[in-house]
Amino acid sequence: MGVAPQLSAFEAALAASLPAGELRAALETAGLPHRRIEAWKWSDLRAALAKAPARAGMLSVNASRKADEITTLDRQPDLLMPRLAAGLSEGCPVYALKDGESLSLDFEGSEGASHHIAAVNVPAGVSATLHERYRVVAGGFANIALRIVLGEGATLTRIVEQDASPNGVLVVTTGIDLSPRAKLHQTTLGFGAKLARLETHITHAGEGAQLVLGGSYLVASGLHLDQTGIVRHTGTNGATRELFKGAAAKGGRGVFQGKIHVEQAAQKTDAQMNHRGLLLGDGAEIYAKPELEIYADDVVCAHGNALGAVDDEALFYMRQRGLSEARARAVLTRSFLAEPLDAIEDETVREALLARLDAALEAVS
Amino acid sequence: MLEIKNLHARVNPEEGEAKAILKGVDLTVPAGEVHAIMGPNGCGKSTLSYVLAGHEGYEVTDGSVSFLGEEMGELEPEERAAKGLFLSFQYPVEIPGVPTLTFLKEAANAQLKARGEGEISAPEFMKFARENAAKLGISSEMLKRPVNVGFSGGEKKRMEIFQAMMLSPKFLILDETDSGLDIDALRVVADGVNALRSPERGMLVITHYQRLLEYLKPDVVHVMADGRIVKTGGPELALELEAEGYEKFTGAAA
Amino acid sequence: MPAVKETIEDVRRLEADKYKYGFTTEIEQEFAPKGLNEDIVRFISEKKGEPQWMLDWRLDAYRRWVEMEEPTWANVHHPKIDYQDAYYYAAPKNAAKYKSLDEVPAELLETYKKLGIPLREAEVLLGVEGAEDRTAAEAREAPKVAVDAVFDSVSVATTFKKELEKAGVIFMPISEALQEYPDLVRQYLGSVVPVTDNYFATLNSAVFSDGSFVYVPPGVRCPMELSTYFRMNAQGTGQFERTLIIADKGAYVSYLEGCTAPMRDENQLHAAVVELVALDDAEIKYSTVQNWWPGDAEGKGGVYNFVTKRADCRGRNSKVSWTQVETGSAITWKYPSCVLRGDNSQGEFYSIAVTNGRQQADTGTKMIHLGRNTKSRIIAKGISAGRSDQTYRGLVSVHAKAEGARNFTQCDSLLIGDQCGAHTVPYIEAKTPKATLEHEATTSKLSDDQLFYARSRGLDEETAVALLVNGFCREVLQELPMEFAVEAQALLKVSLEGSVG
Ligand SMILES: Nc1ncnc2c1ncn2[C@@H]1O[C@H](COP(=O)(O)OP(=O)(O)OP(=O)(O)O)[C@@H](O)[C@H]1O
Ligand SMILES: [Mg+2]
Repeated sequence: MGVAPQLSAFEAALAASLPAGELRAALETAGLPHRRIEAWKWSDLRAALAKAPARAGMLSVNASRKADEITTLDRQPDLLMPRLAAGLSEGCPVYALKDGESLSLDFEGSEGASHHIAAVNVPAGVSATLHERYRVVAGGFANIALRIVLGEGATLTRIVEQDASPNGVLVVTTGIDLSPRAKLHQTTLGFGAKLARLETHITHAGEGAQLVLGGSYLVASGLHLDQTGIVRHTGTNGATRELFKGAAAKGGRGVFQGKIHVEQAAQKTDAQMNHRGLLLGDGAEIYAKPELEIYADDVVCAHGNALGAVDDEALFYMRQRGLSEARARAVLTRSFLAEPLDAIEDETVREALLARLDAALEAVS
Repeated sequence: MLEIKNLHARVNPEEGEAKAILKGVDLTVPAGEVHAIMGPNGCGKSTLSYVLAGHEGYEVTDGSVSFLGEEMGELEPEERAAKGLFLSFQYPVEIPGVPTLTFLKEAANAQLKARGEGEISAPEFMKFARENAAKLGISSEMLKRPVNVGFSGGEKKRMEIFQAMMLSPKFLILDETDSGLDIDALRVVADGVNALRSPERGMLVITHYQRLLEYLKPDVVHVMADGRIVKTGGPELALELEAEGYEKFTGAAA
Repeated sequence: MPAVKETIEDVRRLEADKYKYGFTTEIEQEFAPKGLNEDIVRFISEKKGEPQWMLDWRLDAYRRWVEMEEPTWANVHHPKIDYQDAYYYAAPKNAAKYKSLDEVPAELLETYKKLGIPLREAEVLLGVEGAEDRTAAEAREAPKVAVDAVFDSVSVATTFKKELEKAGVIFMPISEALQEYPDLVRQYLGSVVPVTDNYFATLNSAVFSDGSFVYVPPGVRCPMELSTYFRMNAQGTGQFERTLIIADKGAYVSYLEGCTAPMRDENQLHAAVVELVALDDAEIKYSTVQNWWPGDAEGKGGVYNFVTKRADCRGRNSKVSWTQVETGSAITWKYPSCVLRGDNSQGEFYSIAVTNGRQQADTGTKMIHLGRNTKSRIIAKGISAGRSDQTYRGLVSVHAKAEGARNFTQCDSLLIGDQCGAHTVPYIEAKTPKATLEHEATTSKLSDDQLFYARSRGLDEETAVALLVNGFCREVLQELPMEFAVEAQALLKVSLEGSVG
């Protein structure tokens, strides 16, 4: 974009830590993503890191088991952040999930900048669970790239928890391949950071493959959470259901960017995307961009987006039955946010996430 | 028990001008009595019920409402509920994600607390719920669903009466609780309402049909037209209306 | 209005040649020298005998434009435009001197007649006035429309000026308004779309030629529909019209705009700016039927329609409603917008966009809620056929102070054939909890069941498609003034011919 930016000390240090080459040149000419870049319009990573201390940090990864192998990962989405993560990581742990397995990965970013990549394979026919959790301490920046491949007929339940990380910055970019007849049910529960971005790119091969994306978020004052998801349908007969619901408290900021891309070959795609946001107080902000990009004609695609406060009629109805206004509001907000989580099949996991949501709601009210 | 004097109210809609709807309603319902209100579509019956329940979308411009000898004034909806006023909505609201029983238990306890009474225990509440549900032919599966979500029109009305039975209010306003009910359901619901009749309890029943009144046997029937009570009489008035329509009253009001 | 009815008949009769507006008018024209530089800007200003401030304004715009870069964010693709390879001024010889219709050359009158645009008031009046006793219904059937006819860079005729004057309404070419009401023009020009708003608006500010100026004084309900008819004729020219409409307190005006151009192999640039200002309690209804030459089936030729349209609902309770039917142009880049500044102001956008052949359209709207209790409503219907590509791009932004704001948006896209694309790119921003924003969008093809049903009743496929497409667009067609709606329906059918089967 035109003139080369003045790199911040943080960016310069980041560039210096890379070997000379294309990636380093890319960072040096463009800097980190910022609000003038369309895809980062509402999440200015550059500004969030402008004054970050220019030193390396540590990312501790607490995995429920050892990786099957360590490789160099070559197939990250072709985007600056995952490429940086790959360029600054030493090797990529690869987990091949077994049938019935539940793998958990806990990531914690320390102060300073840290990068990490990992890969998860769900071989054909295997059904498994992946449970991730992310947090970054104050003054930290964690940049993580994941690659997940579902083989034919594989089933994966992916749970992503993102803890409130005030004054931390987090970017997680996940590239997912969904093979024919595979099923992915992903649910995120996020609370934001100084800036947190959970970005997911899914290639959906169709042919009976099914994708369910759900997400809830609650951002308190000073926190920012961006959920960006791009689903690309490449084959016929693919189904996608997305439901994201979030609330921003006074001073919190939520961003939802969703795109469903249907290639010309992806006839008979059935895709629906929904985002609903609640603004809980003055100074709350929610930004949404639900996109459809359709090149096949025999499809049914739809998206919906609604932003506002809790429904006045429901509020009145509950108060008529005796609930106080504050209580009625809390109950409505809770049930609103719980919907995507209610779809989690595993009861223990579901209850755990709902409990965390309740605790967070308690804290903002 | 309920005394409405010269009540004027208007609606301040999202779009367009404020509009006067209630234009001087006078109505008194003593404890133990059942009064019916009949009147043509749009005459202001539901508006009256909303105003009594304290809906913020309607503004009282004149007159007063007193309940149990106390001015309702600017009381919040939940304060009115805690005092024992129950409105069975003409169009019950769907509340996705909130299970019916969770909602009702919370409501019951909020009301008890507001009145300075102790909370009801969970098993006690469940037992009471099962009994009432059985009386109304409501399955336990229905009770598990979120409030009014996915219910048919008639099922919603049944759930409203179920809620009334659970909350044991002092005064009931039934806004067209009979519409949408099939013949059997109408009897079941009417039995439920009759079971709630007592010397301490008053009721205001808004309806378009004689059939419900046959079951409920109201003490007094009022005719409302263009925001006023234009005629008051005994149960025979309902029969007269059924036979002749509203024409002579709407003329009188104009 | 017989002339318009005739147009509709003509459209219906169309068979082989779908674009009946593709003829050229042989008339002697004068041009500015080819290319664009400060001298050209001076040339245009001088031709129009403009005051010094206007020339300075243009030159300032030109200097800024030279520093700007052409935007690339729209989802459209075209070879780089060579701004030096075009004429920025073309006008029939002596056009500036037509005192009355009698002086307008026969070729021009003929042109507008062929386009179905009544320039002679007598023609318009036929069967409309004269009989004092005609019923109200008849009067409604044939409403009066005042026309400003813009031919390339100049306005050649404006009708009903006298009658409008009586009501206090000013309706004239902007070049004339600059002479007669310079203060009014100066007060409002560029106040809605600033000179530096965007690349094409800045270009327009430097070289704008003609367009309409409308001022409706306080409390006046404009007694007839106003319309401007834009015609691009000369080869190698761009059209850069500028329209400015002001509805003063409590005023109402309905304005229609139509556009056509000859079939040419080259791409012609049309970069217009339209500014609307609605003061307290005023209402402006702006309808467009855009039917510029779209290029041939292979994508050769056609108009590049890069337009900036914006309304400033400056006053309390003001209202602006944009309705557009976009069937023409090779490339459309257009986002009629409303800045809802006044409390309780309202903005509406109703749009039908049809692309066929190799057409590309990136169109939508922006609703900027600044005032309290502001409302906006967006209904956009897109139909893509052939190898065309279409994007709805919209912004709904509710600022922190816009308590009570409401928006409802519905975007539906229809794909006919598997070689086209339909895209929806809405941006939604909410910064107050006291607002409600709802957005819904769908993309699908015509229902096979409905098609079969219609055909089993005896409709041929093309008629059945036209019928269903009309149904799909109904909500928007309803918003058009009656005569326009009929014409628009016929246009839809013509635009989609050859897209099925
Ligand atoms: N929120 C509102 N906005 C605009 N008008 C309203 C609103 N609420 C009520 N009204 C109008 O007030 C009048 C009275 O409405 P109300 O619902 O009280 O009638 P009703 O007597 O209950 O009729 P029905 O027998 O059909 O239920 C109607 O004309 C209605 O359209
Ligand atoms: Mg009613």
